[in-house]
Amino acid sequence: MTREMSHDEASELLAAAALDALAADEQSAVLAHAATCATCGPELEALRQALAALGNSAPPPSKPATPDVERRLQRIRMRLLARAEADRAPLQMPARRRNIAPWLAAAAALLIAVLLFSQQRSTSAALAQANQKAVAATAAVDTLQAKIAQDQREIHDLTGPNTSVVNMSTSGAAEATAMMFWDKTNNTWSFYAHRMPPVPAGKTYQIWLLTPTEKISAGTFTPAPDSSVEVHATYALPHDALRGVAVSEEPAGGVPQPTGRIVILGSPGPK
Amino acid sequence: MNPPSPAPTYGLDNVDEDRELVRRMSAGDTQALARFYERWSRPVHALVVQLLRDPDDADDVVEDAFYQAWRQASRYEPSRGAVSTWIITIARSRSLDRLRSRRRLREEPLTPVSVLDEMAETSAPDPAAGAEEAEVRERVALALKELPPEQREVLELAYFRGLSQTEIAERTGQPLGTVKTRTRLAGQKLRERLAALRGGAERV
Repeated sequence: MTREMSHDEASELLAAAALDALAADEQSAVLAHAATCATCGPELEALRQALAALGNSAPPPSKPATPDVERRLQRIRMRLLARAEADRAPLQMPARRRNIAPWLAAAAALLIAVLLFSQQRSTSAALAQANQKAVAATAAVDTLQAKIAQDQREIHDLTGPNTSVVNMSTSGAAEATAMMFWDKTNNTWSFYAHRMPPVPAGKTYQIWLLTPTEKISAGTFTPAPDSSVEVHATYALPHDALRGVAVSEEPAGGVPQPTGRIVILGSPGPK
Repeated sequence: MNPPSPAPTYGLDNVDEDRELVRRMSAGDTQALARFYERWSRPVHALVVQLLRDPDDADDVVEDAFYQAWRQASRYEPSRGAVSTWIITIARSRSLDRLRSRRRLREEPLTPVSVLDEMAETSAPDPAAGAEEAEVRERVALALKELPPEQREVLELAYFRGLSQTEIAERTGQPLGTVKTRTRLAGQKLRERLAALRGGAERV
């Protein structure tokens, strides 16, 4: 239980609390006081904002070098958007999406044309409304185009002549099926699984590429509500280095090296 | 595919654009997430690398921070500060988790670097930063210059190294009471100077 802290005591510790530099019990006592104090609450927020300005102004690191940073940011972007898309997948990606996507794109484009035409004859209020719809329709077209491009990339990654397939068997997750596709031309990795059990609270699943010398993290995931998983990563590995792919259960946020139990394991096929 | 540049389309300034992006993210719009990442990934990445000093760890943490922002976009409250404060706070918090679990695994020596000294001396603008970002950076540099070295040190160790006040006292050999006073004064002075330099602008 959080102990009560006097106003004087808490106000002395606001900066330390904003820095998250207190022991856990002290930190929660200061936060509890600030939540109900008309002086300390706003002061704590102001301190947090000042410190965020500090964080926002962190100098670009000398290592890695700028081009490497740009490459890394692109890789992170791909992984992030794949995770975000996977969240939306059960709601917004029906099985026939590859067939209907171009038609939806055409319909959205037509909608924009109609909206643009109607704009010319509208009052200013109607114009603003139509403009908003056109922006939404443009965003819809962008989303669909991005999906089509992503589908094409995925098809290439999965069927390319230089793609290795890792069939994976399960130990902890008895019902699950999983496969990893490694496109050696583009260094892309695509992991698919079905019937993955939900990850326990406070945990995440983490994928590992196993080589003779190291275990490389290929990202963390939690299964979608329909128990499916789709994870994409980019990582350059010497073509003969892969000995296996594993999925382990780890603390939320992932870990630098595997610590938890292995739930899925597989080794590369002969291709 | 490059994300669209919504600023001219919406006619919003950056603060409004950020809030609009977060609102769209909370509705599940991945295009908004892509744009949000485009806007904030560089400063967030710079901060996380400064905190973790390990590019691979930093990549994972940056991804997790933006993923957390995506999942928790509906919890963002504009009344509690700018979007920049929100994403930077998430990124630092995830970095501290990683830093502290790493320290538990192996006693990690502190690399003798001084990020704040570097920031205080920075006068050359970062070519990748926009005009507003450059202004914030300049204000921060000016505010830091006015902090006495001992206050800068506790701020550095707490903010960029993730040390608690007790750990700072152990590492610097200073009494805990002294560290507490310096932390309080450093926070207070930084806030006051930034507020004065900002002169009423909404964003820090």
